[in-house]
Amino acid sequence: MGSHRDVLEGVRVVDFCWAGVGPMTTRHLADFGAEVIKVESMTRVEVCRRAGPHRSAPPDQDSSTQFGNYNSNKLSVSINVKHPEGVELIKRLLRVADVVTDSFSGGVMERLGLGYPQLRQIKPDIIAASLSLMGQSGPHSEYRGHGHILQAMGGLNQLTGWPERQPFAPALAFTDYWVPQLWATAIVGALAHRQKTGQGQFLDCAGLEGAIHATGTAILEFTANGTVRARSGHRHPGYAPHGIYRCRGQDAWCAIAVASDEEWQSFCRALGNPPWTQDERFATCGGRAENAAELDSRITAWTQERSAPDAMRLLQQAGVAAGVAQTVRDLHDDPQLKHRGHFWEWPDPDFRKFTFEGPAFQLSKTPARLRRPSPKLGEHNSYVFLEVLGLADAEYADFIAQGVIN
Amino acid sequence: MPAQSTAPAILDGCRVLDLTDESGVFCTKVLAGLGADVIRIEPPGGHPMRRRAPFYGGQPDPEKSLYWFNFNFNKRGITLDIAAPEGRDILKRLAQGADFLVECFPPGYLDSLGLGYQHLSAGAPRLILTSITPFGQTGPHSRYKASDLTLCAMGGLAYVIGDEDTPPAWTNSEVAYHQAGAQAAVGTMMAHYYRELTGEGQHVDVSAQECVMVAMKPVDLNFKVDGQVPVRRWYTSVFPGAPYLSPIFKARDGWVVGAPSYWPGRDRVRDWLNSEGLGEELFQPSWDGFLLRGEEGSPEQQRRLNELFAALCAKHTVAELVEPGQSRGVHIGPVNSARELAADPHLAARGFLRAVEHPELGGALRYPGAPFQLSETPWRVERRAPLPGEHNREVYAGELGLSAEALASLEQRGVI
Repeated sequence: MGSHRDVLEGVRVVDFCWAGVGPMTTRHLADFGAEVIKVESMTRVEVCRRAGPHRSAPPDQDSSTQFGNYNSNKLSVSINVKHPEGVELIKRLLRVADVVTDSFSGGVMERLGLGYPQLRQIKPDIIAASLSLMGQSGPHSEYRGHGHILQAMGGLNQLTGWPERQPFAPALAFTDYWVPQLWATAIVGALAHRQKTGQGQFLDCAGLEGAIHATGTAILEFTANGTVRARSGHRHPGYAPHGIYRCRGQDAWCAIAVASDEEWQSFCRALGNPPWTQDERFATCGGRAENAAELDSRITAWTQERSAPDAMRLLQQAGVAAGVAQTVRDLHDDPQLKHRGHFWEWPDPDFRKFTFEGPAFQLSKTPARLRRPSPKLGEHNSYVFLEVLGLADAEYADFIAQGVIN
Repeated sequence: MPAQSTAPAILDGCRVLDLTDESGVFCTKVLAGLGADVIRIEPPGGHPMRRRAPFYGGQPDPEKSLYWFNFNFNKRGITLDIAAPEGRDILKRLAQGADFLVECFPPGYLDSLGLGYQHLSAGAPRLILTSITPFGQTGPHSRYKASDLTLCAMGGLAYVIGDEDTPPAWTNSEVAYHQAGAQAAVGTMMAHYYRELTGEGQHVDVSAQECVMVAMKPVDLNFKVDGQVPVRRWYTSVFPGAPYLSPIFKARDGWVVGAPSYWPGRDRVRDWLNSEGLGEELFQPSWDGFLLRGEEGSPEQQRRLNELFAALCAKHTVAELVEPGQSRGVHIGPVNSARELAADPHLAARGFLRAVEHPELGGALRYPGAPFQLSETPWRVERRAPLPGEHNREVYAGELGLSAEALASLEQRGVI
């Protein structure tokens, strides 16, 4: 840091994204220094501002912790897009923008007169990214949904949980936290391309197509072999043992994954080579997989005698992959995460209970930083309209009086 | 190299040296899709990833791993023993001409070979080195071993997936590894953009554990506000209305995912139920706040709406539910497997699946195509994954200028 500028310093993003998945995409841009201006409306408040949990009671439009997390480092302006002058004002903002992002269903930006052809007339090298459930074309482009629907449509639920039970969600809405990684990659890539060539472009980012990339091998398995991969519980074709085992204490668990016969020998040593480990059925990975049920009960007898952290440490010392199934409280006490500075803290007394998780990747010269907490609704109207757009004071006051800026 | 498309790609002309394993290979898959010339470096004898199931035709064969195919198509491939002294020198020379090196070795391993960031960047200041490891380059757990399963556990995700009466569950698609690779791609592209501006490369240090934790945001927020430590089925305990957020419903021929209590749209659910002779009670005034004004409603109301929706689903096939539900504006979708996705008309209309020729298999296989559609720089789908050492001659003789004798000697000594 210090001598280095932020990666996206000088990049201005006009951000129409709302709810979770779009804002999480543009948070990557904000975390690395882009000026992300969130375009909001007082009359139709961003749904996430209402989403709990809230940091204060009674909740208000600035107290949502979800909104706070997804929109930290961003600015907020409030414009009435239903007012004809509101759209004109947005167009003026777009003239000084590099990227415009939206997460509306197909057609909404066009109806506002802000479809890509129009945007290009306003700013020829604009990068316009439309982040939607199904994409801008195709027979289901108007489908409605959200992350809970998308992860199931993308094939993830069918692969999660137990073969004998119904499909299960691989987190509350796994794709909400997955597709933003792909989309941020695409947007930053488009910026790099523009830097090199001067050319902007349109990004049609379909959540469904991104979601499927988390199950790519299963798709190929079907198109190549005609076989449908199923939920497998803890079974994995490359590992045995492979499971999450009960440990001493209340609902305490340790995951163990043994990848080779050599690791199996290390595993046996860590357990003190009890006689059952010498059973020849367990000597090879294939044998252990075939006798997994018995193997798992033997291992559970050992793990149940130990706390999960002790089981992890003993196995790690022997060179075996093992990890506590950490609770959210454990994560906050995790020494590795502390060492990495995973949680960002904001000193503002309003945010005393609040930390933000930083990116999971660290750039040695240009790390991400927390500059500001999420914006209050319309907090940056005067900065954006007076300083960025250079409106005269009287003009600005007039827009407010007319309800264009609200 | 012949390209199928003449359109430019974002990483045209960029060279990536790929030393990843399963835990980070999605990153180089993305860089290849963005048009980079990715050179997959395997140890002599082939990368262990080639032994990963599933296999084409079902029979284990290191040249037919579908796992290998999926993550390594679009790449070229060479073999190199980077631990051998000559191998190190060759890797250094390759790094001089490369834009990115992506690796998944334990922290310190490349340093011990004299191939760490400080060594490689000395002669190549533009180089971006991306390191994807379970826990990051330094810290008390940095030497811990991990797998996708143990990363899901250490990242907190496993603990909240599954049922209360079962152990923490797992997703049979390696979501931790996918997350690590995808977030590595974000960091790598950030570094790339910075280099486009300044000419300077840097080291990107990715922790797979932290990548998993991104999906813990909602759990974490509740913990911070209320001190709640959610368990499996956690959303039923955290949000009173949440059993109804994304339940799976049994249809006559499969499963659908639906959100009858999603707001706005509850009135549309009521109308749909009514059209099937269900939920007459929902027209009583006591329901108006919940159904028409977006109020939270009582747990009993939420439970009842869900029950009625389940009754509706039980009467119909998946096809009879999804399209009609969507045309009514209700959040509903099929719980798809690969079979349904491969036949999905929407994906077909968008040209999502793409054929990749496999001459050795006598035909083409269909792969997932672009994860995002870029109007000017389309995602590249060009060639099948490399065979072991397939491009040794092309790279070592053609590009590094090694003589035929030198090449033969390296081969003989097992360096390549």
